[in-house]
This record gives sequence, C-alpha cells and structure tokens, in this order.
Amino acid sequence: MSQYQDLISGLIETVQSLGPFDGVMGFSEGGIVAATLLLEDARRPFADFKCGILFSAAPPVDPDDLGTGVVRCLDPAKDGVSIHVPTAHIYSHENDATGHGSRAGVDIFNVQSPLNRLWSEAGWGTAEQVHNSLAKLCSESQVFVHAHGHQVPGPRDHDALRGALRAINRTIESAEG
Amino acid sequence: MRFLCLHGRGTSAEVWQGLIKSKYGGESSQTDKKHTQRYSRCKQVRRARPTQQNCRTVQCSSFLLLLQVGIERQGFFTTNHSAALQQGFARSLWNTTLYSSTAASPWNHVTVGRVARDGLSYTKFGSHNLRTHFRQVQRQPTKTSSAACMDISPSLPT
Repeated sequence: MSQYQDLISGLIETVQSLGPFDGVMGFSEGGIVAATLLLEDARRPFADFKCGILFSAAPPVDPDDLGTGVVRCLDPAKDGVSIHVPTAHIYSHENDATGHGSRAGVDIFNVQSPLNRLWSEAGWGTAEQVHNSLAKLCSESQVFVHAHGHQVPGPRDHDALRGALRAINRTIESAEG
Repeated sequence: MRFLCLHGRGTSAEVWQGLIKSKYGGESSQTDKKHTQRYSRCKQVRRARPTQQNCRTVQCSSFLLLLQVGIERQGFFTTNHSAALQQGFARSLWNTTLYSSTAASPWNHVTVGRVARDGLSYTKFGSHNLRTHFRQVQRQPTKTSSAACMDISPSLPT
C-alpha cells in the first residue's frame, strides 16, 4: 500500500513540478495509473486535467479505500461515474499481445496481470468487461475497439489507427470546448 | 495540448505486486516475479510536449506522431529502457533521445542515449542529471526532425 501511495504522491509531485499538463495518457498499467490520476484530480484537484487518453487500461484501485486498508478496483456498478473529464478508451477484446490466436470474450486470466484477483472480485471475466468498466466510470467516453490485442494501434493497420485517432480527436475537441 | 504519458507494465508492476501481496499474502506467481524482475524499478514516465502548432498539425495525421514530435523535442524518459523498447512504442521513435535510469532516484541520475533505427536498442551517450538536463532542453529546444515522421506519415489517413 505504501508503494502505491508513494507512486501516486510521486506522480502528483511530478505533475506539479513539471506541469502544467492538459491531459494524461497511458498504456496498460500506465493507463491504470493515468486513470488513477484523473480520479485523484476529480476528488482532490491538483492538476486540472482536461482529458485522458487511455490505451488498454483498466479501472483504478480506489485510493480512498486504500487508505483504510481495503484494496479494490473502482466499479461503475457500485461507484457510478467517477471521472468527469472527456476520455478516450482504445482497447481490444483480445488479450493476446499480438492480437492473434485469441478471440473476443476470452478469459481475462490469460492476461498476465497481478490485478487478476481484483478483477475477479469485481465480477469481470473478460478483457472487454475490464476495459469497458473503466469507460463506464467516465462521464464522457469515446471508445474505440481494435483487433490488435494488448497493443497501441499503429501505421500497419490504417483502419485501426484511423479509429483510434478519431476517438482521440473527439476527446481533445471536447476537452477544448 | 500537453500530456503526461505513462508507459505500460513497467510503470507499476512492482507496485501492484506489492499491493496484491499486502492483501493476499504469500508469494507471487512465477509470472509476476518475471515481470517484476524484468520491469523492476519502473515508475515513470515518458512525456510529450508538443507545441500547439505541432499538436494541431499532428492531430490530423497521427496521434503517434503527436507523441513523436513531442518526444523529439523533449526526449523519451523511462526508468527502464528495455521495457520501453520492448513495448513497441519506441519502434517509431528511432533516432530520438532516450532517458533511462535504473537508479533508486530516477529523476536524478540518468543515462542518455539515442534509439536505434530498429527501435530495439539504443546507444548510450552518458549520464546526466535529469532535472538539469530538462532545464537545458527547455532553454534550448532541439529542432524537431521530420525524418522519423516522414517514415509513416505520407500514407496515413487525414
């Protein structure tokens, strides 16, 4: 727990010392941490982030519960909308890092994440459920689903890249008001 | 728009593992151990700082290029260059500056290198104090190279 709190406090210090930043973006666990920063900024403003770009991310651990010794992921069914800035969610239903040899709805436990048990406790059994839960925690989500597994869409697939860019651009435009 | 960027897995594997162990006790799985060994000490961060003009231009073509432009101006910071390179982000970042550290205080002493064109290796230049180096970069921003952008931009949708 202290490691987690150190991480968050360290990032807040980073944001404050190297900022201002208009937004935060992250991939995979970096996306989870990015979502955590957005959540923290919503509860105890420190950066005034305008948007978030989240690739293959998942709901953050609740930092307030953590302070009381409870480790659990934020759950839209219990916590409702918790992040109130525009966000882009770009992910795949496939777990495989290459996007091959896997399929939508595949068991989330094929993902090598230490958060598997928390996801299981929340009732999320697939990658789709995990990623979509984060989108539901956000008030204004732009979702793009691609077929490349646990990766960021790149120039090899223009359709996927175009879709990701569309979600990102809409998010940024919405943030700019 | 200016973004704080966080790369994956290595960002917090150690942190998450500590969390889970604190809740469930016992030893972590072999997979988790491998991750922790592979990505140990990673907490941070790469950051992009495009100018508004660059941002506008690049938004129309590629978000990845947005990152690229920003990174070419400010460098690519990671506490574990191996993780960063292996994640594929760096493959479009060849010839960009890479800041890397495995020290306990990642913001202080870092090595500085340049990503090879294959995106899988880098050439170490030397060690710097990161805060000092960033101040120098901010005073004298490097000219943005279009070479890497040209590598993929012409055929991208707009």
